[in-house]
Amino acid sequence: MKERLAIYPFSEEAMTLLRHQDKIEGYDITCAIIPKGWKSHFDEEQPIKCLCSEDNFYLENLINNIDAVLLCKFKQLNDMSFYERIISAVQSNSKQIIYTPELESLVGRIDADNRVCLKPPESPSITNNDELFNIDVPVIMVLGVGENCDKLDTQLSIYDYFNKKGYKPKLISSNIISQIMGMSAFPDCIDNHKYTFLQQVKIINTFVKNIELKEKPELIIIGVPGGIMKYSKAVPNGYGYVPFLISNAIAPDVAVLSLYCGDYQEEKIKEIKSMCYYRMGVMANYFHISNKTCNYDIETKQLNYYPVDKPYLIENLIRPQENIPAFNVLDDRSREKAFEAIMKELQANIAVV
Amino acid sequence: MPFMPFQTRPGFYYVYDMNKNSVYKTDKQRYDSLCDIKNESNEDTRVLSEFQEKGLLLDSSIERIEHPASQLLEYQMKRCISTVTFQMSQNCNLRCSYCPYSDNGIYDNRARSDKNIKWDTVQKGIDFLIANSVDSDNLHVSFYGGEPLIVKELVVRAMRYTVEQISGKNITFGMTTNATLLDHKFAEAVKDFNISIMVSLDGPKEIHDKNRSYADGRGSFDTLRENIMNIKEHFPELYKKITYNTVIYPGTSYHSIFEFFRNNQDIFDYSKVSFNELSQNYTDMKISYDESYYSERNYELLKAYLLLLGKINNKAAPELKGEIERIYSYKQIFTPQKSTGPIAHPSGTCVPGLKKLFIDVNGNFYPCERIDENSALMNIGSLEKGFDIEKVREVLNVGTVSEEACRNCWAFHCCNMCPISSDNGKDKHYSKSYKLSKCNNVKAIALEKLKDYTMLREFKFDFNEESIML
Ligand code: SF4
Repeated sequence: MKERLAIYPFSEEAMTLLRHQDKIEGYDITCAIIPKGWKSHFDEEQPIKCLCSEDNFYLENLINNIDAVLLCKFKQLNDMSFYERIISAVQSNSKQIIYTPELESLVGRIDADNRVCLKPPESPSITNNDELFNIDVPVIMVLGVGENCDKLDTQLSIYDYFNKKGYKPKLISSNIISQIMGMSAFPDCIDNHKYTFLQQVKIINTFVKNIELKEKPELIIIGVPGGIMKYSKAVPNGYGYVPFLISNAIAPDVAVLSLYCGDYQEEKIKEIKSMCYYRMGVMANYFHISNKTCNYDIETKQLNYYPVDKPYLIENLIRPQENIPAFNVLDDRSREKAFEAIMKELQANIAVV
Repeated sequence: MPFMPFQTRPGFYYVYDMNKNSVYKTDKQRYDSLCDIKNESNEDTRVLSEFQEKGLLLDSSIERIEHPASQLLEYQMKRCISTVTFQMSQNCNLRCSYCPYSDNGIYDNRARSDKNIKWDTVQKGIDFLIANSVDSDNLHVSFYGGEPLIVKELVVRAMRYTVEQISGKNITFGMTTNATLLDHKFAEAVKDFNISIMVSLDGPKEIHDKNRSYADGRGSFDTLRENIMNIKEHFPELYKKITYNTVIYPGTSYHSIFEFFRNNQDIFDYSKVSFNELSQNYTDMKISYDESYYSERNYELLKAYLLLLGKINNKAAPELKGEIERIYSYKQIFTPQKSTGPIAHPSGTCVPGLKKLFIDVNGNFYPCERIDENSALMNIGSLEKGFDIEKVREVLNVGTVSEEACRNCWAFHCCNMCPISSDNGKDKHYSKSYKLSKCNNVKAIALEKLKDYTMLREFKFDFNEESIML
């Protein structure tokens, strides 16, 4: 019998978990808690039954109907007191809590037996030898121009596609939360400044090689955290450091680049492709166009993201650009077309697939 | 021709290239030649060709004027609103000599009435903000008038209601007030909300009282001062969030206003004052300031430059904060670019209603609180009907009415013409002739900024904001 899981706070970012909840091992999402004033309608084809407002969750004591809470930390949430109430409820009702490391300081007071931290795996030890291992199974790399452009959804959709086709894919995801779905995350060396660049490259390469040897997948999908380039001088986006690091560690056979929603002309795509190639040595040939657009707010000095609706996206932005080839994970036609092309490319290139 | 030759100091010659939003250094001979071409006083285009062969000073590449936000406008308006400003009342307890609500014959955009906003309107307005801001992390609710404190209890109720309805977002409040009703009880009620209060204060008692008086002619300075003193003493955290808006009326001594703030730092903190001239919008009256005003203002500006260049002690920084912030903004304006795309829009306009949605006492929507409430063009929706997206699109695309002129205008990327400055308050659509009548002034301001920016660059100023303490 699966445990009943609540997600807090629930928003569009957490929608990916709901769409792929069949992969969550040992849990059923039975409650998606929407904080006050947050979006409560989602443009999904099927109505979402587990949605519940924060007020109702407490009023109706719904904590009694769940076994665990998955605490999500979204980038924009800086006021940590926001989590206080749910953590207290979890604590006083002795429920389990699953969380990401940045929430450790808040969750620490909960009994250790009831806490599961989705920590990144430890870095494998490396040899002094500079040489990198060859990865002997095909690798699909999913990169993004920045944050919030549906990279995780794209990775999981590719995973599903190859899985359904009878292959055994392995996903090393850009998002730590995907560990709840049995996916791997990148080792902790990525944010650890005690390592040199060379060591970080070597660790990631070794980490992927170990997975290849231990788990024997037929295909490795790598979701690359962060964006491949700075957004502007004001928003450096990590200067594309992590993608640069990962693309040095692993040479992909196919690369998919996720772009923000927009009307990309041929010239622009050419420019993006050559930037990807000359900066990271990665030839991006498939483009996921997210339903989210991104712009910079001079006043708050932050990037703002907002989505367009599916019919608009498909009709105005995906259909005219399918030949790029561009696709969106929510659009069956372009998605299948792109994934089929990826599969054919891999089959033509590599005998193993 | 989208370029502009200019000089910063004797012997320093430059040309600004609109297409690339870039400044190039040049010499006197080339400068003269470019000036002649610009003034159409010389047919010799060899110098221009020389630049153009290098891909510089090319003809405008703009084919169509359209604001980049136009395409996805309705999505943005549905999800990214971040601020609402309520007109809490059309009434005011003062009769300031230049206030649009005072029926003084200067501005025709507003009329004073006894009408106050109803709670139902405020509540719907906050609900509208919440429903249309799912992708905004920072929400701001602001109170404006007339005088908002005429309906104090509604202001407090609105703040309470907002925080009750939202969690996990950064909520701030703002209010513009004449401070005469800013009493102890109100301060007590709002002290725990994240509220900033902008007080209208025109300077020393004799100047303030002349312009800002009660209906019976009494000045309001003493009450204002008393209220601020009280807040300083009893609510120090709230006091820190009080700023001042100082309107300088033509003919007033700028010097004595400055001196006043300098000498009263203990209560009216200089770094929190923003000095403003009377608005040139929605008036047929020619508002002009005399030479002494500009020389005093330029003196302050000069001090800001010297400070930034490290020529004077940065102890003077707080009082020059406004000027310094303005100078830093030049960097954003003059960020070089590879080229200007075929579809573009002059700078200067924000998306109407997105960042400063103004809701009047009747629940009508306007782009911001500086509008003419009688302007049919500026009414972009209502609480009852929501946004009129086509209207928002029209107001946003202020450049289309002067498309031909804008496409070839050298000041395209440093234009500050916004919907309000382009609206005459009378026509249903933008008037081309009215808008173009303001261009010379806009270009003159742009040229001044360009010169100042370039001169600071000459002195190797790097516009690195962190390098100076404000
Ligand atoms: S100054 Fe006038 S012509 Fe030039 S861009 Fe601005 S509005 Fe257009």
